[in-house]
This record gives sequence, C-alpha cells and structure tokens, in this order.
Amino acid sequence: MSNPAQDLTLRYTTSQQELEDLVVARQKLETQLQENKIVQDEFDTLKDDTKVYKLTGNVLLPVEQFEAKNNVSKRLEFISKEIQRCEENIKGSQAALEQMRAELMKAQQAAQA
Amino acid sequence: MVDLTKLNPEQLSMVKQQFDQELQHFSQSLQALNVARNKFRECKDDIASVSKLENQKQELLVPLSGSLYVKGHMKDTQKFMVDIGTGYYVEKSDLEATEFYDKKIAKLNQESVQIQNIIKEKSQSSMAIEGHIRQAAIKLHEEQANSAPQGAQPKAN
Repeated sequence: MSNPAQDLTLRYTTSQQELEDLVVARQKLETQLQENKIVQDEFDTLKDDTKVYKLTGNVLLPVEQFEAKNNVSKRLEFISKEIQRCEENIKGSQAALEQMRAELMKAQQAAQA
Repeated sequence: MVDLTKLNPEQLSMVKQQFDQELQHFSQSLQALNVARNKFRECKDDIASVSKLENQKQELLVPLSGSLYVKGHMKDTQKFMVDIGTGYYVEKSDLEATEFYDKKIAKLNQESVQIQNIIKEKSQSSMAIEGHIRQAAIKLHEEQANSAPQGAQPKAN
C-alpha cells in the first residue's frame, strides 16, 4: 500500500472514532436533558411555600424555590444549546467521513487499475 | 424492509446479529427499569412504616460515617425530603411523597410494557430470520448437490 493511501485510512479511522465520541456525548446530553426536564416538571407542581434543598457534597442545603427553578431552566437552555452544537459537529463529521470514503474508494480503484 | 428471501445466509446472519444486539440492549433497559421500580417501591414502604403514629419520637442511630453513629430521635415523621433528580430534594408530606412515588412507578410500568412489546417483536423477528437462514442453507446445499453431478459429467466424457 502506498503512503498517501495509508494516510487516508488512518485519517478515516480517527475521524470514525471522533464521530463515535460525538455520538456518545450526544447521548449523555440527552440523558441530562431528560433528567432536568423531570426536575422542572416536578418544580412546576410545587406549592409556593414548599421547601427545596440542594445536595452539595454530603449535605442538604436549603435553597430558594425560585432560585432552584431558575437554575434548572438555565441548565435546560444550556443543554439544548449543547445538543444543537453537538449535532452540528456530528453532521460535519459524517460529511467528512463520507468524503473520505469516496476518496478511499477512488484510491482503491486506482490501485486495482 | 429488505426481502429476507433474497439475502444469502451470510447477510442473513449479519441481520440476525444486529437484531440480537438490539434485543440484548432492550433486555438490559428492562432490567434497569425493574431495578428502579423496586427502589421506588422500597421508598414507598419506608414512608408507610416511618409515618406510623407510634414512630413519633422513635429513637434511632444516625450514621455519621460508615462506622460512626450518634443517638437521635425522629423529630418529624410526617415530612420527607424526596430526591427529584439532579441533586434537588423537595420537602413533602407522607401523602405527597407516596403520590410522587406512585406516579414514578406508574410511569415505569408503562415504559416496561412498551419495552416488553418491543422485545417480543424483536425476538419474533430474530426467530423468523433464523428460519430464513436455515432455509437458505438447505437451498444452498441442494443447489450444490444438484450441480455437483452435472459438473462431474463432462469430466467423465
């Protein structure tokens, strides 16, 4: 196998790995999104005077309800943005892989000819 | 959907492998669901037993670490801190907390039924594919058996 072809294969495998990592990150974000959504739904059903605590280390610290609500909705916003960013990266990575696959095929055909 | 009868045994077994992988994934999810459901059920039982009237002022040992305890007593057996996720806890009465867990359990039950249906479907498909593999193998065998004597004839001449 010639050197450029070897290079291409190597780049292809690293890109594949990158795509896989992105997909894993996307799944993690989805889990976080769902969990925060559940928390937000629960917050929405609370009475105004219900006490809310946050687990910090091993201690439950009281927090203001509105603060907790704000915090969770901000987190949801952030996670949604991250998901968008991640999906764009995935699309880019897939396109790059597609292109490399085409190049690889061409190289293979050239080698056979 | 691909026509399974047109695939060769090798392709079929690849499809089957994919189905089996998905099947395994769903079985794991189902197991995780059941574990979560049991945890919620335990929480419900705990609420029921702690909120009993005779438990007012009940003495207990409070763990400070895994091997260090101090004596204490129940101050309020009608209020519970419920973990609602991402580190947030909410104060609930025994009734509210039980309701909370009932809702969670109902939701998990629903999802469990869904997953069970998917598993049933997938395992049926997996079995069907296995049947196709067998048929394809038999067909291949017959073709080879039929073509072998024909291939041998010209040699004999």
